[in-house]
Amino acid sequence: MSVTATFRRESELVVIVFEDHLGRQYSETFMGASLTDAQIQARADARALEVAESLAQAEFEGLL
Amino acid sequence: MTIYYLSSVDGSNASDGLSWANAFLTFKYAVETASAAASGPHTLYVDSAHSEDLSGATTVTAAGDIRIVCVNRSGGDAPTTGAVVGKQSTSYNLILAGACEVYIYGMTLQNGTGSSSVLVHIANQDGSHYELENCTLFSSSTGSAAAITFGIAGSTAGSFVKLRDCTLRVGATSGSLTIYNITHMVNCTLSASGSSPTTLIKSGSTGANLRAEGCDFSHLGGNTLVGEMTASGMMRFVFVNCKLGASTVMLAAPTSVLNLSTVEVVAYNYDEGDEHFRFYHGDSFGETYSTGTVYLSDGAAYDGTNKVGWQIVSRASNCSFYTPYVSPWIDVFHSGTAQIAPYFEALRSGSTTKYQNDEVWAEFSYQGTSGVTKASFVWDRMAVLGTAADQTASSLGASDWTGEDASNNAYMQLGEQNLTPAEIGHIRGRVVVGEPNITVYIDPKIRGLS
Repeated sequence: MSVTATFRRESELVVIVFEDHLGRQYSETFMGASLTDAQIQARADARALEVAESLAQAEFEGLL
Repeated sequence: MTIYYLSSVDGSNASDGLSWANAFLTFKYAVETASAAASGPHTLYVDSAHSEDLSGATTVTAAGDIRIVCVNRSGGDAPTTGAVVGKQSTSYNLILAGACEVYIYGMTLQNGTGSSSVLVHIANQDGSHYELENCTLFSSSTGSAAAITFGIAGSTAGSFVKLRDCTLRVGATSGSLTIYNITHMVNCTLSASGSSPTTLIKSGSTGANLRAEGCDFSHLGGNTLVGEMTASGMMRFVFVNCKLGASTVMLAAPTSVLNLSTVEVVAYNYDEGDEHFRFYHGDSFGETYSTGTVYLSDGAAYDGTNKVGWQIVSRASNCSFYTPYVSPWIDVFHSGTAQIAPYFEALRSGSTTKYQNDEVWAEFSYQGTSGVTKASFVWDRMAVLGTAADQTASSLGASDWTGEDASNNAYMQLGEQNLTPAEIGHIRGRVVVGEPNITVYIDPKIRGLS
């Protein structure tokens, strides 16, 4: 299960969009005005790994 | 009421537990014996010097109501802190159960310092009611699923846990809280002496309902407050007047249960600093944040002076015209009974294209029928199987809003349907988003009331 993460800024908010290998998208947000783009991308990449684990687990449990 | 005594300093389970000189030795034996004694509820005094290693997984099942108070044995038995159960170097579950009412003051409860996935588990029985004051719950084990758990799993089970002035601490970044049933926290703190959990509330189920009032979870930093919930049963987590970390993720991206059957998070007046009245609502379809950055200059003000807008962001998954994200209600008392057309001012930042009425709309409720309290509803949503149309253009623009895109914006009015209240009462409005992965700003002030 591979998941990529991109982000966009919406005022103070950062919206991270995760996309899995089937093109399905998921998103979450946080207040990230004080963070640099590099910091956000690093954080998004770390979360992408967790999301991939979550998806893999869900697939194993038959939830997907 | 009888007073029982517990001390690892000089106690013995062969004693009768009725004085310090005849104190019990172990927590499990003392609680189960004292709670089973006739003519209760009784009180168990726990020596503040009590320091107990568990020799295996331990379930303490109270047989009846009991009060357990850590006391200063050499200081007139005044309530204090210091007693510890479960500090051994091996991971063991420490489970507190019993279908009765249990009060605990001043104790530290741990699950060992090993590396196994074990629990400090409070109220693990149908009918359990536990209230803890000035206690520390420390999931000291570093196992990947080690956790502090409240309540009992199971769709037909019910339990209640209340924590007041308690400290929550985890021994690894994988440490977390699991919430079942009803849990209340008042003035509790996530200890900065422990690890900062990657996700604080990692799982729950069966109608989990957490209400945290005046709690400090700022040790979370940029980690996640509420993780994805994959278990069945709606869970609701409410945070009131709490301190959170800078850039905390309030609710993790839903990935496996992409509908509204699982989780809702609401936070009132939360911040890592001192920005008052910050508000949040989130579920699997979208999120609403209050914002002091994008607002209407004559719009809503949280303190009569400082303006506030609402930023509504739909999730990238599953939100649709037929299954939309719905913001919380905005209320205003209205004493008139003449025809009105309430609406919200709305902004799309970064695009001059107006949202259409299958993407964003507003719904209002009012007292539309005489003689009953039942509300009537209007909205400006596209008709089912209808043709989408642009939302109404607003007469307001760039000079009226603050914080929007430098050049590309669309200004709209949402709602504006004629209605006639039959009685005085509340006009309530909310914004609905039927398109995934979009953002709309609104002024959270109901206009058009005259």
